Amino acid sequence: MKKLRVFLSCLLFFVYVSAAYSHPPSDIQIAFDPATRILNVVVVHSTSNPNNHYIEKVDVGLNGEEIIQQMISKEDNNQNQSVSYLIPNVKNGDKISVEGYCNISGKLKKEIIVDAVAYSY
Amino acid sequence: MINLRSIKTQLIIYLIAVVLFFTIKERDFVFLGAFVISVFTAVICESFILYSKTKAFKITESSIITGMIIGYVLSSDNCWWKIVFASLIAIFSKHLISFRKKHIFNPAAFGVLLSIVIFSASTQWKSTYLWYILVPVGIYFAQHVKKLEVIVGYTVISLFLFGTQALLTKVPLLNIFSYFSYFYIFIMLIEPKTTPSRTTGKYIFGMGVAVLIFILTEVGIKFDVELFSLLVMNALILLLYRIPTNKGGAI
Repeated sequence: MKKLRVFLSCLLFFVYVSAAYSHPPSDIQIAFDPATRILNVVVVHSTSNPNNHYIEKVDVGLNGEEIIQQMISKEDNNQNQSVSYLIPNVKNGDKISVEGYCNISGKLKKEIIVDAVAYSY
Repeated sequence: MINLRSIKTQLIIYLIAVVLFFTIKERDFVFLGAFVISVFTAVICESFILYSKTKAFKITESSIITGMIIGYVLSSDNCWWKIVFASLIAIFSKHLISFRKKHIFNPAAFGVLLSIVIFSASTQWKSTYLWYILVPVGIYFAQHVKKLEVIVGYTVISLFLFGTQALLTKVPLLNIFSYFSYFYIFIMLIEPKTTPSRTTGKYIFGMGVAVLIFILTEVGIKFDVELFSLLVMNALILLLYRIPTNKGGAI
Protein backbone atom coordinates (compact mmCIF):
# COMPACT_ATOMS: atom_id res chain seq x y z
CA MET A 1 0.00 0.00 0.00
CA LYS A 2 2.83 2.33 0.91
CA LYS A 3 4.61 1.55 -2.36
CA LEU A 4 1.42 2.14 -4.29
CA ARG A 5 1.06 5.54 -2.66
CA VAL A 6 4.61 6.47 -3.58
CA PHE A 7 4.00 5.23 -7.11
CA LEU A 8 0.80 7.22 -7.54
CA SER A 9 2.29 10.33 -5.94
CA CYS A 10 5.24 10.21 -8.33
CA LEU A 11 2.94 9.64 -11.27
CA LEU A 12 0.64 12.53 -10.39
CA PHE A 13 3.60 14.70 -9.61
CA PHE A 14 5.06 14.25 -13.07
CA VAL A 15 1.81 14.12 -15.00
CA TYR A 16 1.03 17.55 -13.57
CA VAL A 17 3.88 18.89 -15.60
CA SER A 18 2.77 20.24 -18.94
CA ALA A 19 6.09 20.64 -20.64
CA ALA A 20 9.23 18.66 -20.10
CA TYR A 21 12.46 19.03 -21.97
CA SER A 22 15.97 17.83 -21.57
CA HIS A 23 19.28 19.31 -22.64
CA PRO A 24 18.77 18.99 -26.38
CA PRO A 25 16.49 21.61 -27.91
CA SER A 26 12.93 20.38 -27.56
CA ASP A 27 11.90 21.94 -30.85
CA ILE A 28 13.13 24.18 -33.63
CA GLN A 29 10.60 26.44 -35.25
CA ILE A 30 11.64 27.50 -38.74
CA ALA A 31 9.98 30.16 -40.85
CA PHE A 32 11.29 31.33 -44.21
CA ASP A 33 9.74 34.36 -45.87
CA PRO A 34 10.23 34.04 -49.65
CA ALA A 35 9.49 37.74 -50.17
CA THR A 36 12.19 39.07 -47.86
CA ARG A 37 14.34 35.89 -47.97
CA ILE A 38 14.69 36.09 -44.23
CA LEU A 39 14.95 32.85 -42.27
CA ASN A 40 13.58 33.12 -38.74
CA VAL A 41 14.50 30.39 -36.30
CA VAL A 42 13.41 29.80 -32.74
CA VAL A 43 15.33 27.08 -30.93
CA VAL A 44 13.23 25.99 -27.98
CA HIS A 45 15.53 25.10 -25.10
CA SER A 46 14.53 25.44 -21.48
CA THR A 47 17.29 26.38 -19.08
CA SER A 48 17.68 27.31 -15.45
CA ASN A 49 20.57 29.62 -16.15
CA PRO A 50 20.90 31.11 -19.65
CA ASN A 51 24.49 32.16 -18.91
CA ASN A 52 25.75 28.65 -18.19
CA HIS A 53 23.35 26.40 -20.04
CA TYR A 54 22.42 27.66 -23.47
CA ILE A 55 22.25 27.03 -27.21
CA GLU A 56 25.87 27.46 -28.21
CA LYS A 57 25.66 26.84 -31.94
CA VAL A 58 23.17 27.12 -34.76
CA ASP A 59 23.95 25.54 -38.13
CA VAL A 60 21.93 26.32 -41.22
CA GLY A 61 22.10 24.07 -44.26
CA LEU A 62 20.78 24.57 -47.77
CA ASN A 63 20.11 21.40 -49.75
CA GLY A 64 22.44 19.45 -47.50
CA GLU A 65 25.32 21.92 -47.56
CA GLU A 66 26.16 24.00 -44.51
CA ILE A 67 25.90 27.70 -45.33
CA ILE A 68 25.78 29.38 -41.92
CA GLN A 69 27.31 28.56 -38.58
CA GLN A 70 26.74 30.87 -35.66
CA MET A 71 28.32 30.52 -32.22
CA ILE A 72 26.36 31.93 -29.29
CA SER A 73 27.62 32.56 -25.76
CA LYS A 74 24.36 32.86 -23.82
CA GLU A 75 20.68 32.26 -24.37
CA ASP A 76 18.10 34.99 -25.04
CA ASN A 77 15.95 33.90 -22.11
CA ASN A 78 15.03 30.82 -20.04
CA GLN A 79 12.94 29.32 -22.82
CA ASN A 80 14.46 29.76 -26.27
CA GLN A 81 17.05 31.26 -28.58
CA SER A 82 15.97 33.23 -31.65
CA VAL A 83 18.12 33.90 -34.71
CA SER A 84 17.42 35.37 -38.15
CA TYR A 85 19.41 35.21 -41.37
CA LEU A 86 19.16 36.65 -44.84
CA ILE A 87 19.57 33.83 -47.38
CA PRO A 88 19.46 35.35 -50.88
CA ASN A 89 20.01 32.26 -53.02
CA VAL A 90 17.02 30.18 -52.01
CA LYS A 91 14.69 28.78 -54.68
CA ASN A 92 11.29 27.26 -54.48
CA GLY A 93 11.61 23.60 -53.46
CA ASP A 94 14.95 24.03 -51.74
CA LYS A 95 15.50 22.26 -48.44
CA ILE A 96 16.61 24.37 -45.48
CA SER A 97 17.87 22.55 -42.41
CA VAL A 98 18.61 24.03 -39.01
CA GLU A 99 20.57 22.35 -36.22
CA GLY A 100 20.66 23.67 -32.65
CA TYR A 101 23.34 22.53 -30.22
CA CYS A 102 23.11 22.71 -26.43
CA ASN A 103 26.44 23.73 -24.83
CA ILE A 104 26.21 20.87 -22.35
CA SER A 105 24.78 18.02 -24.32
CA GLY A 106 22.41 17.26 -27.14
CA LYS A 107 21.36 18.66 -30.47
CA LEU A 108 18.30 18.71 -32.66
CA LYS A 109 17.85 19.08 -36.41
CA LYS A 110 14.76 20.24 -38.27
CA GLU A 111 14.11 20.85 -41.97
CA ILE A 112 11.64 22.66 -44.17
CA ILE A 113 11.03 22.71 -47.90
CA VAL A 114 10.77 26.24 -49.23
CA ASP A 115 7.40 26.95 -50.74
CA ALA A 116 7.05 30.28 -52.52
CA VAL A 117 3.30 30.35 -51.99
CA ALA A 118 2.92 29.12 -48.46
CA TYR A 119 4.76 30.71 -45.60
CA SER A 120 6.59 27.74 -44.18
CA TYR A 121 6.57 26.97 -40.50
CA MET B 1 11.84 -18.50 -25.82
CA ILE B 2 10.93 -14.93 -24.91
CA ASN B 3 9.97 -14.42 -21.30
CA LEU B 4 7.55 -11.51 -21.30
CA ARG B 5 7.54 -11.44 -17.51
CA SER B 6 11.20 -10.51 -17.45
CA ILE B 7 11.62 -6.81 -16.79
CA LYS B 8 14.60 -6.74 -19.16
CA THR B 9 12.49 -8.19 -21.96
CA GLN B 10 9.80 -5.63 -21.26
CA LEU B 11 12.34 -2.83 -21.39
CA ILE B 12 13.69 -4.16 -24.70
CA ILE B 13 10.18 -4.27 -26.15
CA TYR B 14 9.51 -0.72 -24.95
CA LEU B 15 12.74 0.60 -26.46
CA ILE B 16 12.10 -1.14 -29.78
CA ALA B 17 8.54 0.20 -29.89
CA VAL B 18 9.73 3.77 -29.39
CA VAL B 19 12.42 3.38 -32.05
CA LEU B 20 9.82 2.16 -34.53
CA PHE B 21 7.54 5.01 -33.52
CA PHE B 22 10.21 7.60 -34.34
CA THR B 23 11.30 5.82 -37.48
CA ILE B 24 7.78 5.85 -38.87
CA LYS B 25 6.68 9.22 -37.52
CA GLU B 26 9.78 11.15 -38.56
CA ARG B 27 10.88 8.80 -41.35
CA ASP B 28 14.15 8.77 -39.47
CA PHE B 29 15.87 5.72 -40.92
CA VAL B 30 19.26 7.12 -39.93
CA PHE B 31 18.21 6.75 -36.31
CA LEU B 32 17.11 3.18 -36.95
CA GLY B 33 20.42 2.41 -38.66
CA ALA B 34 22.52 3.85 -35.83
CA PHE B 35 20.36 2.02 -33.32
CA VAL B 36 20.94 -1.30 -35.08
CA ILE B 37 24.70 -0.66 -35.25
CA SER B 38 24.97 0.08 -31.52
CA VAL B 39 22.87 -2.93 -30.52
CA PHE B 40 24.61 -5.28 -32.94
CA THR B 41 28.06 -4.18 -31.73
CA ALA B 42 27.19 -4.54 -28.05
CA VAL B 43 25.64 -7.97 -28.52
CA ILE B 44 28.51 -9.33 -30.62
CA CYS B 45 31.13 -7.95 -28.25
CA GLU B 46 29.49 -9.37 -25.12
CA SER B 47 28.85 -12.73 -26.81
CA PHE B 48 32.47 -12.90 -27.88
CA ILE B 49 33.72 -12.12 -24.36
CA LEU B 50 31.38 -14.66 -22.80
CA TYR B 51 32.38 -17.26 -25.38
CA SER B 52 36.05 -16.71 -24.59
CA LYS B 53 35.25 -17.33 -20.90
CA THR B 54 32.77 -20.17 -21.06
CA LYS B 55 33.10 -21.59 -24.59
CA ALA B 56 29.36 -21.26 -24.93
CA PHE B 57 27.55 -18.86 -27.24
CA LYS B 58 25.09 -16.64 -25.45
CA ILE B 59 23.22 -13.42 -26.21
CA THR B 60 22.47 -11.44 -23.08
CA GLU B 61 19.52 -9.11 -22.59
CA SER B 62 21.74 -6.64 -20.77
CA SER B 63 23.99 -6.24 -23.81
CA ILE B 64 20.93 -5.57 -25.98
CA ILE B 65 19.72 -2.94 -23.53
CA THR B 66 23.16 -1.31 -23.33
CA GLY B 67 23.34 -1.09 -27.12
CA MET B 68 19.82 0.29 -27.28
CA ILE B 69 20.47 3.02 -24.74
CA ILE B 70 23.59 4.06 -26.64
CA GLY B 71 21.50 4.17 -29.81
CA TYR B 72 19.06 6.52 -28.11
CA VAL B 73 21.62 8.82 -26.51
CA LEU B 74 24.26 9.22 -29.20
CA SER B 75 23.32 11.30 -32.23
CA SER B 76 22.45 9.15 -35.21
CA ASP B 77 24.55 11.32 -37.49
CA ASN B 78 27.80 10.53 -35.67
CA CYS B 79 30.28 8.56 -37.74
CA TRP B 80 29.40 4.87 -37.45
CA TRP B 81 32.71 4.06 -35.77
CA LYS B 82 31.98 6.46 -32.89
CA ILE B 83 28.82 4.50 -32.21
CA VAL B 84 30.72 1.22 -32.47
CA PHE B 85 33.39 2.59 -30.14
CA ALA B 86 30.80 3.60 -27.52
CA SER B 87 29.21 0.14 -27.61
CA LEU B 88 32.56 -1.65 -27.40
CA ILE B 89 33.77 0.48 -24.49
CA ALA B 90 30.45 0.00 -22.71
CA ILE B 91 30.71 -3.78 -22.87
CA PHE B 92 34.43 -3.90 -22.08
CA SER B 93 33.85 -1.69 -19.04
CA LYS B 94 31.37 -4.27 -17.76
CA HIS B 95 33.96 -7.01 -17.86
CA LEU B 96 37.13 -5.13 -17.02
CA ILE B 97 36.06 -2.62 -14.35
CA SER B 98 34.35 -4.57 -11.63
CA PHE B 99 34.13 -4.90 -7.86
CA ARG B 100 32.89 -8.02 -6.09
CA LYS B 101 32.04 -9.51 -9.49
CA LYS B 102 29.72 -6.61 -10.33
CA HIS B 103 30.60 -3.94 -12.83
CA ILE B 104 31.09 -0.51 -11.31
CA PHE B 105 30.00 1.88 -14.04
CA ASN B 106 26.75 2.16 -15.92
CA PRO B 107 27.98 0.62 -19.19
CA ALA B 108 26.01 2.81 -21.60
CA ALA B 109 26.91 6.00 -19.73
CA PHE B 110 30.57 4.98 -19.68
CA GLY B 111 30.67 4.22 -23.40
CA VAL B 112 28.84 7.35 -24.43
CA LEU B 113 30.85 9.68 -22.18
CA LEU B 114 34.15 8.30 -23.40
CA SER B 115 32.97 8.68 -26.97
CA ILE B 116 32.10 12.32 -26.23
CA VAL B 117 35.38 13.06 -24.45
CA ILE B 118 37.72 11.30 -26.88
CA PHE B 119 35.98 11.75 -30.23
CA SER B 120 33.69 14.73 -29.57
CA ALA B 121 30.67 12.59 -30.38
CA SER B 122 27.37 14.43 -30.14
CA THR B 123 24.23 13.34 -28.32
CA GLN B 124 20.57 13.55 -29.18
CA TRP B 125 18.81 11.93 -26.18
CA LYS B 126 16.08 10.63 -28.43
CA SER B 127 12.63 10.31 -26.88
CA THR B 128 13.48 12.30 -23.80
CA TYR B 129 10.51 14.58 -24.60
CA LEU B 130 8.07 11.70 -24.33
CA TRP B 131 7.68 12.41 -20.62
CA TYR B 132 4.04 11.33 -20.67
CA ILE B 133 5.21 7.85 -21.65
CA LEU B 134 8.57 7.78 -19.91
CA VAL B 135 7.25 8.76 -16.48
CA PRO B 136 4.64 6.01 -16.02
CA VAL B 137 6.71 3.40 -17.85
CA GLY B 138 9.86 4.45 -15.99
CA ILE B 139 8.15 4.29 -12.60
CA TYR B 140 6.91 0.81 -13.52
CA PHE B 141 10.44 -0.29 -14.41
CA ALA B 142 11.94 1.40 -11.34
CA GLN B 143 9.47 -0.30 -9.06
CA HIS B 144 10.17 -3.69 -10.56
CA VAL B 145 13.93 -3.37 -10.21
CA LYS B 146 13.42 -1.85 -6.75
CA LYS B 147 15.05 1.49 -7.57
CA LEU B 148 12.15 3.86 -6.99
CA GLU B 149 14.08 5.37 -4.07
CA VAL B 150 16.82 6.47 -6.49
CA ILE B 151 14.28 8.44 -8.48
CA VAL B 152 12.67 9.90 -5.36
CA GLY B 153 16.04 11.01 -3.97
CA TYR B 154 17.02 12.52 -7.29
CA THR B 155 13.71 14.33 -7.76
CA VAL B 156 13.48 15.79 -4.27
CA ILE B 157 17.00 17.23 -4.36
CA SER B 158 16.66 18.48 -7.94
CA LEU B 159 13.44 20.27 -7.05
CA PHE B 160 15.00 21.77 -3.95
CA LEU B 161 18.11 23.03 -5.75
CA PHE B 162 16.48 24.21 -8.96
CA GLY B 163 13.46 25.51 -6.98
CA THR B 164 15.68 27.68 -4.82
CA GLN B 165 17.46 28.91 -7.91
CA ALA B 166 14.14 29.63 -9.64
CA LEU B 167 12.97 31.69 -6.66
CA LEU B 168 16.22 33.63 -6.56
CA THR B 169 16.22 34.32 -10.30
CA LYS B 170 12.44 34.92 -10.42
CA VAL B 171 11.82 32.15 -12.94
CA PRO B 172 8.45 30.34 -12.83
CA LEU B 173 8.72 27.30 -10.57
CA LEU B 174 7.10 25.03 -13.13
CA ASN B 175 10.06 25.64 -15.43
CA ILE B 176 12.06 23.35 -13.18
CA PHE B 177 10.45 20.31 -14.72
CA SER B 178 11.71 21.33 -18.11
CA TYR B 179 15.31 20.88 -16.94
CA PHE B 180 14.82 17.19 -16.26
CA SER B 181 16.09 14.60 -18.70
CA TYR B 182 13.39 11.97 -18.41
CA PHE B 183 15.11 9.28 -20.46
CA TYR B 184 18.14 9.66 -18.21
CA ILE B 185 16.13 9.49 -14.99
CA PHE B 186 13.77 6.67 -15.83
CA ILE B 187 15.94 4.47 -18.04
CA MET B 188 19.59 5.08 -17.16
CA LEU B 189 19.61 6.17 -13.52
CA ILE B 190 17.86 3.03 -12.29
CA GLU B 191 20.30 0.51 -13.77
CA PRO B 192 20.12 -2.30 -11.18
CA LYS B 193 23.69 -3.53 -10.95
CA THR B 194 25.50 -0.21 -10.65
CA THR B 195 23.24 1.33 -8.01
CA PRO B 196 23.08 0.51 -4.29
CA SER B 197 20.78 -2.24 -3.12
CA ARG B 198 19.96 -0.92 0.36
CA THR B 199 17.24 1.72 0.80
CA THR B 200 19.47 4.38 2.35
CA GLY B 201 22.10 3.84 -0.29
CA LYS B 202 19.55 4.25 -3.05
CA TYR B 203 18.36 7.59 -1.66
CA ILE B 204 21.94 8.78 -1.22
CA PHE B 205 22.76 7.72 -4.76
CA GLY B 206 19.84 9.60 -6.30
CA MET B 207 20.49 12.70 -4.20
CA GLY B 208 24.20 12.62 -4.96
CA VAL B 209 23.60 12.52 -8.71
CA ALA B 210 21.21 15.46 -8.44
CA VAL B 211 23.66 17.54 -6.39
CA LEU B 212 26.50 16.83 -8.79
CA ILE B 213 24.43 17.70 -11.84
CA PHE B 214 23.34 20.99 -10.29
CA ILE B 215 26.85 21.99 -9.22
CA LEU B 216 28.51 21.01 -12.51
CA THR B 217 25.83 22.75 -14.55
CA GLU B 218 26.21 25.95 -12.53
CA VAL B 219 29.99 25.80 -12.77
CA GLY B 220 29.54 25.68 -16.52
CA ILE B 221 31.06 22.31 -17.33
CA LYS B 222 30.92 21.89 -21.11
CA PHE B 223 30.21 18.21 -21.44
CA ASP B 224 27.45 15.87 -20.50
CA VAL B 225 27.17 16.51 -16.77
CA GLU B 226 24.42 13.96 -16.30
CA LEU B 227 26.46 11.05 -17.60
CA PHE B 228 29.53 12.25 -15.72
CA SER B 229 27.60 12.62 -12.44
CA LEU B 230 26.12 9.17 -12.83
CA LEU B 231 29.56 7.64 -13.32
CA VAL B 232 31.02 9.55 -10.36
CA MET B 233 28.24 8.25 -8.12
CA ASN B 234 28.74 4.73 -9.53
CA ALA B 235 32.33 4.96 -8.32
CA LEU B 236 31.31 6.42 -4.96
CA ILE B 237 29.11 3.40 -4.31
CA LEU B 238 32.31 1.62 -3.42
CA LEU B 239 32.57 4.00 -0.46
CA LEU B 240 28.93 3.46 0.46
CA TYR B 241 29.64 -0.25 0.79
CA ARG B 242 31.98 0.61 3.61
CA ILE B 243 29.31 2.43 5.66
CA PRO B 244 27.86 -0.06 8.14
CA THR B 245 24.13 -0.20 8.90
CA ASN B 246 22.27 -1.15 12.09
CA LYS B 247 21.53 -4.53 10.55
CA GLY B 248 25.20 -5.28 10.27
CA GLY B 249 25.45 -4.95 6.50
CA ALA B 250 26.51 -2.00 4.46
CA ILE B 251 24.65 0.72 2.60
